[in-house]
Amino acid sequence: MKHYLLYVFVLLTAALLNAQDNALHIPKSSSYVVTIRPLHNGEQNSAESISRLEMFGSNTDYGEDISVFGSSSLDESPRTRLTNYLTGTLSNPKISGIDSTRNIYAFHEEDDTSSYWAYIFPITNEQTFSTYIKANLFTADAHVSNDHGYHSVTRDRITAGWASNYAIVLLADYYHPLVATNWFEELNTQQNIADSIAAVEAVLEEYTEQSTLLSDSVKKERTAELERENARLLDELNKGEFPEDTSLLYTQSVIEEPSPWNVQNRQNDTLHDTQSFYILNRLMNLEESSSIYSNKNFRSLQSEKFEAAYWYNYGLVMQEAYRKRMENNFSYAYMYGGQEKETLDTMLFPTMWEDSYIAGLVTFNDTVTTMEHRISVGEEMSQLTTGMYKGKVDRKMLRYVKSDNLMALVCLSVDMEKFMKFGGHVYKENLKYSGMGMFEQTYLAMWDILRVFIDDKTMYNILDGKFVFAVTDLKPVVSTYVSYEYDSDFNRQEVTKEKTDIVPEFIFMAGVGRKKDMENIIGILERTGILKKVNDNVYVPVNASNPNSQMYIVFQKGMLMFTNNEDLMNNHLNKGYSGNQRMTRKTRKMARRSPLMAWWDGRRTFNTMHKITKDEKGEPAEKSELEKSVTSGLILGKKGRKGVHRVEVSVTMPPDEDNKHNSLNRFFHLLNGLFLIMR
Amino acid sequence: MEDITIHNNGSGEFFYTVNLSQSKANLDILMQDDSSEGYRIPSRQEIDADIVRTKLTLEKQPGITAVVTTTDWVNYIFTLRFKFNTIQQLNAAVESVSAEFAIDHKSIPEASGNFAFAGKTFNRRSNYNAIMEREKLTPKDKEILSKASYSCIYRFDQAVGNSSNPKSKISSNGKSVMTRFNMLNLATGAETIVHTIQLK
Repeated sequence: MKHYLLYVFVLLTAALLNAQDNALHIPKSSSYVVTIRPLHNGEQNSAESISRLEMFGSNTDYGEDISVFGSSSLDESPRTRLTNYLTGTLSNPKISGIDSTRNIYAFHEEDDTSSYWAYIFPITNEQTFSTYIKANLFTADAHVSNDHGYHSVTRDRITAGWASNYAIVLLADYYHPLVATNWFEELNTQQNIADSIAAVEAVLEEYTEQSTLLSDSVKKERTAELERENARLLDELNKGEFPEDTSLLYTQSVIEEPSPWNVQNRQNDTLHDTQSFYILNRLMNLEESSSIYSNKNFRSLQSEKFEAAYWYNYGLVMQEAYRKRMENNFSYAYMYGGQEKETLDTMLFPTMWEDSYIAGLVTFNDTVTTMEHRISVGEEMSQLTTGMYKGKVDRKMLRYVKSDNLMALVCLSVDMEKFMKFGGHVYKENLKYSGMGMFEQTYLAMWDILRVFIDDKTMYNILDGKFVFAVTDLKPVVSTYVSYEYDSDFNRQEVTKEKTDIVPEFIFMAGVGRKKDMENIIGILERTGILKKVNDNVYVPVNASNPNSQMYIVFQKGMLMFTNNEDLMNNHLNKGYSGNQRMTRKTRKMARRSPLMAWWDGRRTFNTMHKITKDEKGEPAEKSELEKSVTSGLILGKKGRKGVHRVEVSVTMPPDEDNKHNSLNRFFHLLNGLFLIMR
Repeated sequence: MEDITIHNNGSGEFFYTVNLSQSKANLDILMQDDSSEGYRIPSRQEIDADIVRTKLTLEKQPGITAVVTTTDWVNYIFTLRFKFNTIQQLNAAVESVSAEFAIDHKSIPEASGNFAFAGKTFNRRSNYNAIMEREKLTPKDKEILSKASYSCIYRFDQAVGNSSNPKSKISSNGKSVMTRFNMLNLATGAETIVHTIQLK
């Protein structure tokens, strides 16, 4: 009885905690969710430091279009306000009214007509929050409505709603097939413009009928706005004020009013606001069964220890990616008289990634940030991938890695049969949804024919599944190019200029399982003129692309090597490196700690790059943001329960000398570092 | 880069250069593949054939003479040069090349009515719609375009009064106008190739 009561108590407590969690406002069809755990008491973030990060866009070379947390669809002014609001809110919860003891969420959802990012903030003081958001995120003329049991406001494509203990900020990109006509092509015909007005009205009506979310005042405002636009457009049409030469419309001077572009933009703004309210209202009133809390994988992640986490529904993301790819192909086919686009609506996109999720749990400890990356796979993928990573790389492979300036090392040990079958499944599915449907069977038949000549055993055992890749140095390579100079009358002179590129010195090794078969393959490549033998077991590719960086292919001692390391080729090919030039015991041990290991020495990489650029410019280059954020990184495969692959990513950051940055600040710097690597 | 000479009677010479020399090492590698970053990479043979096709198409156009093409596969420099009798024939010639390649889906609809010359006014127009096209550019596309430039040189018999583009420079003899653009700026609409040159 005592245990029973305890059980009921635990259940009730869990249910109440769930009910209080703002994740209940995240739809279950969300593809990405980022969770940030409570800020440390007494710690202050540095808003200025965060707002300067490249990933926030305003200070990047191509900033205006970089999509971070949905800000790419905003104009410059609201984007700046959003950045300032987010950094201000996160750095000083007391002023912004945010509850620093509860989770903050950012998530993304996408469907046929919209794509949006939203933030959910826990609130301690509604009045403080209301004052702060109105003053910092919106302009003074923004109208705050309180018609649906919560406050709501939309302006400049930013929509916010807040109740007594939480707030949602929404950034949506709007798309509706009815109004997505190509105005560029149809600009000249007045009938088309009139049709588009009708389409816009129909969409507005559709949304208005679907929901009762619009307050009367907002409805009135929107209707009046639309009527004004329509009246204005019709007036312009009647006066025949559209320029006959449409090419003039593309110039900046003429694109100003009056022009259908501007009319379309204003109509889209109206539609955008309407739809944003629709989404906001849905999120504010979401039922638990429709929320992300109904997803077991997400729920179990939330019960774990972390300071920040990201989660994404990989199955959903892949389905969406396939759908988009097929949509593009169908559009293309439709344009050239192929299959009709409507057929796409009837297609289903089941994928092998169904029920697959990727999550990262981030924790901070002094200068080391650890991210446990988890890939949970569904039943189909589980059968394919269980036992795929196994064993360790051979010690002899590590002897050929020069260590005096080693920057990166990747070691992989896999079951080749499982690895290739997994690769084959991914390839087959990609082929299926590549728009090459009619060729799919042909491709697969080619593979089947290949298997007549090569039996399964040979195919799976040519390589033994041990792979090592290392970047052992960076080398400056000077090349010339042709450019032009002009005299004062713009007569052209051809000149030859020099430029310095940085080329990595690398080695890639693969263990060979079937020596005889590999010799045959190399023999075929040599006979067909693809490879040229230069020494015993040493080959070079014919027509090498870069004469300044010769690549060598070596087949010896059960290993196939690809390298551009001249020192290795000239002096150490027989036995590999020894003594001080060999990798340290510690590094060798690390290389064999798990079937999957990747390590990168950021400090050494940047120092070497600086030496090269310094030689060229004569002065040390300025440190990049990435260099300031990351010192080194280590990725290790870990054992997980059935259906879960775990990879631990540890990033060492430079010491926080003034001890001002808390975990959230560090997290943003880490994200920024990753963003820079991807860019 | 486009280098166009326009005489008082509307005849002139069109000289177009594509210089990819600075990227030749990358191109050597790329040319071994079928596609990159979602774009199809044509083979050297295909490009050579298209250049010949362009030359043959232009030679058939009324008012177009002395068509010369050059290819430098070591430095990846390609040029096209021809003479035209009138600006209208220049426009028609460019459009004919676009139409010739329509069947292969390689046509450029924007290459239409790009040049106008009447009285003492020369117009460089553009049908490129940056507002729509920039949405299609990936960050990688932008990175590549940001390192590329596009130059326009227009040469006249008479002295130039002014150019509507503030970036334009007038030569020391006063008869030529040169404007250099960053390709990313052109692609995103931050700059426009459209400008009017007024002769004295």
